[in-house]
Amino acid sequence: MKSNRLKIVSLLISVMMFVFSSVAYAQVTLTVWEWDMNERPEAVQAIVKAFEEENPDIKIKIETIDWNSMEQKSVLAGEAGAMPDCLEISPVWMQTLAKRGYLEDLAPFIEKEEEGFIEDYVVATKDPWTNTYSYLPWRMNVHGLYMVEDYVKEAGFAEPPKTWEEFEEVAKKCTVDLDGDGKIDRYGFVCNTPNNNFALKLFCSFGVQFENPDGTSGLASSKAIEAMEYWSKIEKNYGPPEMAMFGFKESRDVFMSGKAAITAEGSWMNTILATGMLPGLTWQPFRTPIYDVPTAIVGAEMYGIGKGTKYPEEAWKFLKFITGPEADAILIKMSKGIPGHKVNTAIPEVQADPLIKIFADEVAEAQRVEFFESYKTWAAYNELHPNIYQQILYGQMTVEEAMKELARQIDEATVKD
Amino acid sequence: MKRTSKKKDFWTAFFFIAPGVIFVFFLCLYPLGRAIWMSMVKTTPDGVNQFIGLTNYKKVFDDKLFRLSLWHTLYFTGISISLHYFVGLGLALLLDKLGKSLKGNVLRGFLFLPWLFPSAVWCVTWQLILHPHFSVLNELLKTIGLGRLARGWLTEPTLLPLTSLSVVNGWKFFPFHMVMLFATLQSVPKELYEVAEIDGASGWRKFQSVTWPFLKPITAIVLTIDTIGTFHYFDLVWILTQGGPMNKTEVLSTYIYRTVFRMGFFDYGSTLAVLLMIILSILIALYIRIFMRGEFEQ
Repeated sequence: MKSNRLKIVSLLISVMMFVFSSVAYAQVTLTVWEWDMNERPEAVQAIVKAFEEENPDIKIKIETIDWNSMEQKSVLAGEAGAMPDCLEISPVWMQTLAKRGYLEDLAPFIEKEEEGFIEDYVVATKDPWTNTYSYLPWRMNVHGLYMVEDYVKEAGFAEPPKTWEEFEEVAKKCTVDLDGDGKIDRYGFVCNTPNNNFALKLFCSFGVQFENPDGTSGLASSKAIEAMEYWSKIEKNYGPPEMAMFGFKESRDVFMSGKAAITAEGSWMNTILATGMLPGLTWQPFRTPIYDVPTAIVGAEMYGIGKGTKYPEEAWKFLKFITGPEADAILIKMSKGIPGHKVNTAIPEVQADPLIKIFADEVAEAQRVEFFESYKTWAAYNELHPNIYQQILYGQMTVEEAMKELARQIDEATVKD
Repeated sequence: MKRTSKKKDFWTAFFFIAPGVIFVFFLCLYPLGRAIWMSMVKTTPDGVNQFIGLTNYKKVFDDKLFRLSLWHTLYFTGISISLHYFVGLGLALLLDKLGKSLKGNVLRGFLFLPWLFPSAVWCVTWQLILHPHFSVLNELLKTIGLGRLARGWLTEPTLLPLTSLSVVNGWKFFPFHMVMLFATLQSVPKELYEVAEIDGASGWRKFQSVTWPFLKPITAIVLTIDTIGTFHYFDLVWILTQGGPMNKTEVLSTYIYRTVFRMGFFDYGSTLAVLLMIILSILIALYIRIFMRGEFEQ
């Protein structure tokens, strides 16, 4: 009797072990490198939870890596053949990862999707070096201009500037010596030079072709020179004298402490200004002034699949989900994101929140939408322009000389590869 | 019998040394070999490495930015190390004089602090002190009536930003020199000073004839270690200026980082890294020759 009971218990244990081990065996764990858990943990957790509920056979193991370390870590992992299954990629280094062959080609997966799959993304582009889809966008942003409403009204303007002439007028009137000691206390404009969002806005608005049809840099063109003449006029006359060396931090310090009326950044500033702006100052984003046609510059972080993943199908499922409309909607609702999918522009949160709507509308109504990071010459431009722009601001080169030199250096660096 | 014992000794020694050799091979020699190999290839856009011999090295001679960043590196290293050593030596002599008094102990702990700060913390602190618009240092100068000395410490297109970075670096690492030199000074027999005093030697003479011979070997060691560290120091320059303005603070480490990670030129970046290693080896050999010659002769 006792022996029979023992046999039954042993049998039950064996069956349970078999069942549980086969469940465990069936579940795939994907390793995902990202940096957003630091900034918007609730949204990321909600997205991962939604994915895991939809795909009980896939478990996501998030490894959060600081943005500053991610570039080195992913390049070194790529070189060592130890890429994670999926990873978040900044546009700053997305081309490096793709052209070094550290990412899986997404085209075979995309081909299997329904028609219109790729078109629904606002900024999905092929990598210019591999000429295929190596990454897909997530967490879209739009480059934007922000102003301190009180200062602009004090200067006599009821509305944000709509043309570049008006913009200069506002910047001029907002550059003031408040205590009469002959020194400027408040500037009309502030921007970071090494990550020049303002120059890009001008390129886009002034109709500059970033690349010529033959693949060389288009920044030596007369339109580019005209745009930069305007840029240097604004920065020299209505910006702090040290602006040539301002990075994001310094530029934000000046704007958020109320020492400047206008700044050029992007939609990511909505959350930063909400908590960081000097109390008592009202601020708002405003649309890019029009030169000849309405324009918009978009950007996004990317997601890719690490080369050599053991689970390509599962990794694709996750990549498709995290960059897809459902995750995009979660980002909009939980972290004031800008719709990265055309289908999401109509959701109530976008229409109800003026800080999101202004950017969504700008993209929807623009006749020219640029994603500069997708150009082949982008990486070279990104590294070379601060030095050249500083040469202009310090009076070492004329704008024309500087832009020709910049284009020459970009071409040389792009061809060097 | 003797032969068996020798053989046994050999294998014992072998097993003790082997882990170290394997460790050095995988962590030093393999990456070095790979860097040298990478410096002799050209990577095509489709990821294929083509052997091109010394072409990348020839390219370096025409590279103005390499020459500029090499000069900046030497300048940065020269000023930083001089500050580290002379400030460290001065303070070590002071601490030695104070002996084991309470004053000496407190001062020693206090002076050691800069070295304990993590890079990110002290870089952010100095970022605020030398901020292009809200510089604490400039405000301080204005408050004490020296407003005319207020400058764009990190923004002027001159050698000032690089000098500022060297001074900041000097502040961070002088405690290392101070501690090493202080420890050596503690080992100098006091009788030697007494004998020198009886002989009527001046302070300088005592330093020259008694203290310096003891400090010389440790000087070679700390300068060698410090040169290696400072020559490819990266964090400070990258966080405070990123090589700007107008490449006025571009040093070899930032240039290599930019070339490899930002521009994606692994081949050319490896060439620069190999050259950095060669230059550094020459400098270290010079140090050893200058400071350790006597030691070897002995």
